[in-house]
Amino acid sequence: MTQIKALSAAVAAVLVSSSALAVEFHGYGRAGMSTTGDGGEQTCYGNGPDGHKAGRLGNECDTYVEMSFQQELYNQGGKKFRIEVMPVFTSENDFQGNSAQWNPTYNNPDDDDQVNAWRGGDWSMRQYYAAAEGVLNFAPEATIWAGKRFYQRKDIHIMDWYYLNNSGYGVGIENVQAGVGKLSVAWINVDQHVGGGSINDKDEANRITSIVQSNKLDVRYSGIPLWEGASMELVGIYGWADLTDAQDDLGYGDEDGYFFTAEISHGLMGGFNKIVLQYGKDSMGDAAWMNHGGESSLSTPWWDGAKQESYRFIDWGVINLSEKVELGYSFMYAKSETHGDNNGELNEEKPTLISVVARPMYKWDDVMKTTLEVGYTKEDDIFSGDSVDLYKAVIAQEWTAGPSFWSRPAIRVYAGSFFGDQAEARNDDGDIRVGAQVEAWW
Amino acid sequence: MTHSKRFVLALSCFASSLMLGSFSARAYDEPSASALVTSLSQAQSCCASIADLPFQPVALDSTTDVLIDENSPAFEFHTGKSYFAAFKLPENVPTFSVFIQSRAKKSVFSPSVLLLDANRTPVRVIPASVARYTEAQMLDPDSLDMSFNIERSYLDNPKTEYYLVIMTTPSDMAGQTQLIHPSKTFAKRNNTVPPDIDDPIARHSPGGLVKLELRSGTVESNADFMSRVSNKVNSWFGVGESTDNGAAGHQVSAASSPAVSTNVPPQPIGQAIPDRSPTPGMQAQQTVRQVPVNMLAETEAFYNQLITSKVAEGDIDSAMRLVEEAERAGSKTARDSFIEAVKGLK
Repeated sequence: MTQIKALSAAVAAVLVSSSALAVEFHGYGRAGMSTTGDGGEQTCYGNGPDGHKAGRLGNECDTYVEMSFQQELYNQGGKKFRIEVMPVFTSENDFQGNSAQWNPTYNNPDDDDQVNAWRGGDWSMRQYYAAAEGVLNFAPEATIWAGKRFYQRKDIHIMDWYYLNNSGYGVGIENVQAGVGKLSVAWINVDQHVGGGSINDKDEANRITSIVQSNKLDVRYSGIPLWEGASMELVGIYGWADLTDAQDDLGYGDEDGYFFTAEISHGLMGGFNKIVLQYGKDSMGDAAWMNHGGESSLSTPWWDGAKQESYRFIDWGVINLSEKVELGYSFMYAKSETHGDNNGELNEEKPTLISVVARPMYKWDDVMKTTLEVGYTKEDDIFSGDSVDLYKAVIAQEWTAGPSFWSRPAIRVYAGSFFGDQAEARNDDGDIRVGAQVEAWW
Repeated sequence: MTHSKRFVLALSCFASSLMLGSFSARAYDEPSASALVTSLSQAQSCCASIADLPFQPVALDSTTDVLIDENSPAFEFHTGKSYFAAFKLPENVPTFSVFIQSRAKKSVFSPSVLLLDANRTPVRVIPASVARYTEAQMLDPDSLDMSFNIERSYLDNPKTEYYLVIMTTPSDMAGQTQLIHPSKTFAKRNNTVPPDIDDPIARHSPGGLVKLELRSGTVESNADFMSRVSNKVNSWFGVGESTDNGAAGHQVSAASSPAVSTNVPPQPIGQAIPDRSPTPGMQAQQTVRQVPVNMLAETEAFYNQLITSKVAEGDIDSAMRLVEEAERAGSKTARDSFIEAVKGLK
């Protein structure tokens, strides 16, 4: 018996090359404190889903934590299976709660509108999916996946601006070598509440009639070589409403539409620059206007002010100006057209948006940086027809684990101000804010 | 406290934090690879033989930053001339482990290790091909890493290693290592698409900054200690990725000296556009690397016979060691023989 045990151990040692069974813990998070010259915490211009059109540094009010657990379950003979699961916490900003030791009103439903140790946020399962590589005979290099996931997102970090984010429940095949580039195809769902219905109205299959599902077919072709060190990616998303018979009978809207993106990436000064052109139409008419473009496909517009058409130009990058100075920058121009004038309430049916942000940083050494972020944005208000602007300047001292622009975690203290029409509207024009924040990914 | 007072306080805190910057340590300045190629070509060999190299004592459980540059001694090894750093390993200690981390920036020193016995005769070579690229993470720079054990179980073993030389070879100097651009690492962590740009390339250089670390215990038992933060976190959940050293190295026998490789003259740096691999972190060799020694058919058969008989005797441990030894010496059939023999046991 002992010999057999020793034998099997020995054979295993010789035959098994490697196994990757460890769970990887990755994530992203931010949280911080602030005070202002006029007293109280800072106000934030765009946060989370809205995006920071004048830059995110010193302008984040929320707590947001992504926890990603990934595991490669199998990796033998060119076949790989892995899963990723990501619970996410985000704060309810007005009631973020203090540490559990102080506030005695632990979890009383009557105190729901009060600061309370045991509340202040929400949890969501933002990702759970499995992916497999090497399982398709015709394309062993390709990956297939299904579940709920962040799908090939593209963002401008310094604005928290996702100019392409078709994420959600779906299925797809990625990275099929096709000609010079790689092809990815995905089918992703999005749900939309439509007006008029009640949550209690259900069809025979027990589906809520006021929630309309739309389908999105997402086709991407990446790695088209241009000049030396540059490549292009083309992305087309077609969205269409998927009405049930009950919804058909109720006469719900069934718009379809599309969103097109062309992106050129090239190396520049030790970093990179990206040039992006986008166009959205009909059910995806706001995709080239909003943050997280590509997520929504509206079976029927929310209201007349929703966009039926938009286009956007973006140029952004992160480059090294010298050994000690790194610069992140972005320029964005967008124009859109609303569905109508909402019975004469809208004075601007073709609003434009412009945004310029620059974040230079001086690196004292491997762990300390001084970072400046300046931003400017101007946007047409569709109600008044006026353009409202916003300027910002924030300086921060940051301690990071590593010398790169991308090194995190960052422990930062900052001071700065916002100016212009949007700041005046909040009585915040020129008011000094001082704060401290952690931003980390690992 | 009035608002203005509070602000004076806050801003002065802020200003003083800014001034801290001027007290920070300076970053390491990488020696220029092309300047080192020139200086190495003109450098005199320091010593008449390997036994005469200037060996510095190095203690167990210590970390030494070894700067290899034009001020380092040079020696005409069998493989070719190289700057080197030579160390005398601790005596009278049990088996311990050695970790070598060669920092990569614009260039990187591609380390080989030569181990000598008590008589300062080479007994083992750990070639640069063993070193693995590890991408920069937190404060750890991009680097080529290797780790191996110094066996001290049998002190009367004439092959016990007492001296260590860190060097490189002309063919390794001609190579390059493709690093991973930091923006791609960020994208991976942030679930976004990495920018489709070329990764930086570190030219292999005759010099660089090498961290030499000696730790009690074997590489395997130190896996947690040496692995980087992510692996430490992993250990909460399960087995951390083991530090696969693969660094058995080549045994040096009387018949084959460590210097099997072809002698390649130093390559001019920075002419051609380097070839990039689709997989970052791969070490591209520009010149043909030495192939493992071809084993004599008779020797191979002898090993196989020995392995089979050990398995038949039930001495699996010896059989496995024979497999490893035979493979190191160039056998391509030892493993199969072992598996066949084990199958035959039933």
